[in-house]
Amino acid sequence: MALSPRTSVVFVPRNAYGTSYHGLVQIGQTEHVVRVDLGGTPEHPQWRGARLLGSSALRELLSSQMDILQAKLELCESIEAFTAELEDVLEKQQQQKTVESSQSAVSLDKTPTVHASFYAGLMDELDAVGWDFVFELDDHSVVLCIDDSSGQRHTVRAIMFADFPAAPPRLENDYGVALRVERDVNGRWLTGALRHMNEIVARYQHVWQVLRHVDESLWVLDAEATASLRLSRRIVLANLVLLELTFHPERPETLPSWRFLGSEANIAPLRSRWHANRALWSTNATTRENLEVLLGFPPPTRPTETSESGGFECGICYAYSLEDELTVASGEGERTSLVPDVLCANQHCGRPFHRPCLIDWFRADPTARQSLGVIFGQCPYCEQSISASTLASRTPRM
Amino acid sequence: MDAVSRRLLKELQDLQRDRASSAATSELEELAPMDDADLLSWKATMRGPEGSPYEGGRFHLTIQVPSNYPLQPPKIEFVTRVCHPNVRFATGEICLDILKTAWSPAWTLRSTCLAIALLLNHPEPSSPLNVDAANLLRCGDQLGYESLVRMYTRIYAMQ
Ligand SMILES: [Zn+2]
Ligand SMILES: [Zn+2]
Repeated sequence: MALSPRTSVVFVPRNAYGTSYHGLVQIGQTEHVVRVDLGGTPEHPQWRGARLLGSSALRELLSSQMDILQAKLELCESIEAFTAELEDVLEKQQQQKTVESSQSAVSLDKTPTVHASFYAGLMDELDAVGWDFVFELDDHSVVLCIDDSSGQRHTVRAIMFADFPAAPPRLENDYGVALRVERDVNGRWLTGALRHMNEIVARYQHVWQVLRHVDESLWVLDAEATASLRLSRRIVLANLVLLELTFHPERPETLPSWRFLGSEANIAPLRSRWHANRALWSTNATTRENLEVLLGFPPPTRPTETSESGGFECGICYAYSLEDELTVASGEGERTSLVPDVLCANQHCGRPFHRPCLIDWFRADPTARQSLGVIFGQCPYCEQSISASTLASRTPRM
Repeated sequence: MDAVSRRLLKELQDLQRDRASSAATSELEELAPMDDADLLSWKATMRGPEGSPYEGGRFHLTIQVPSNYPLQPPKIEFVTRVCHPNVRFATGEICLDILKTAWSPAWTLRSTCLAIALLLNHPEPSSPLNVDAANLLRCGDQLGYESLVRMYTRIYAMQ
């Protein structure tokens, strides 16, 4: 559980001469790419005249710092030195951003002035909350914690702005559940937030336990990325066969809604067996035990060494989840990633693809045809015809 | 990390995993990035297929991966001089459909190199880059073709 966004910078040379570098800048969960092109000639590269190129999202994030970094870049003598400069700037930027965060009225390049009323108000709030519930505290945020009856710890992070407590704090938790931001009867913010988090924990505690068991006992794709209130899990049953289960938030022990993913030939027998056995789902058994009964075989556990995606990687980019760049750039701290959702219909092939990857390939393939927002082409593996809608490709959520 | 590097890293991992099991049987002796810092330039070494006039030779190739790989094919050329109907003798350029129009993202660097190894043993004289070699084959002079190839293999590929 990362309480503050972590930043890291890695540079990789793009050629053997070291005249151009790709940098991977990680801020929290978001990756940005920068490029550094040296000046001079390929034979005599020079740091003077070097150029820093970044994605628009990163340029926006760095705003005025971009010019400073560009100036520093030309004074650097190695990529290591520039890495340190960039890390330094990002670190400071992130600290400041956490303070000011989404309050768009606050300008990014002004340091906040904190009044005495800020600390007085904060102390008063924390006394009221009870110091046992205070997990972490620094000069602009506080992390409150609740331990549920199973010993699991749940936290709420409150980020205070300079005009706190006159202005409300911003509340965050790991579950993606929006917390009410309102004063209690005594005019305090944090007690209300903690009470609301308690209600949420009480309400969802059971489904979280079930999901945790599922993540631990079955081969769940991208289990780490599912810390939110996402109630669905994609479970690997065999090579190229997935079962997607969506659990009921209040009655997670009941039969979840289900969907099999894979080629028709592979999933048809599983689906009919599941259908025939579904009355055997027991609310007293674990999900894993129930799956074994309904499927007629023990589902595989996560392999320790090999690829973690169960052969469900995209046949073009070889990755399982594809970060959707546009969503990352526009979303406020929210990250969506695409999983392969277009399957080749040929039962001997059944390759999965990310829709955007397939569309990129069709656009590069002169034999593919486009009409009315649908692009028609052939599976790169078996030449079975596949179509993909170009309309939904880059905007999974609006 | 960009999509190309991610895919190439996966290919590299698969190569390292398969190396132990397939090195002895494969014509592909080596396939690796030129240096660890640049995943877009690779080098390969292949052995002349057994029973072919290339037997005993070791052939080096360079591979340039385009930045939109695998939407575009890699650019692969022989560095070692090869006498072959589908290889331009002077430049090492290879005429093979999958390197041009028949490319598909289903190919990997490894499978593409294996396809080239296959081409060594199975020339396609209908689309020649080396007219002399193709003519010998087309005229049915298998013996003449093989001794020509053997000579060049000895000169250039057996040091
Ligand atoms: Zn993909
Ligand atoms: Zn297919």
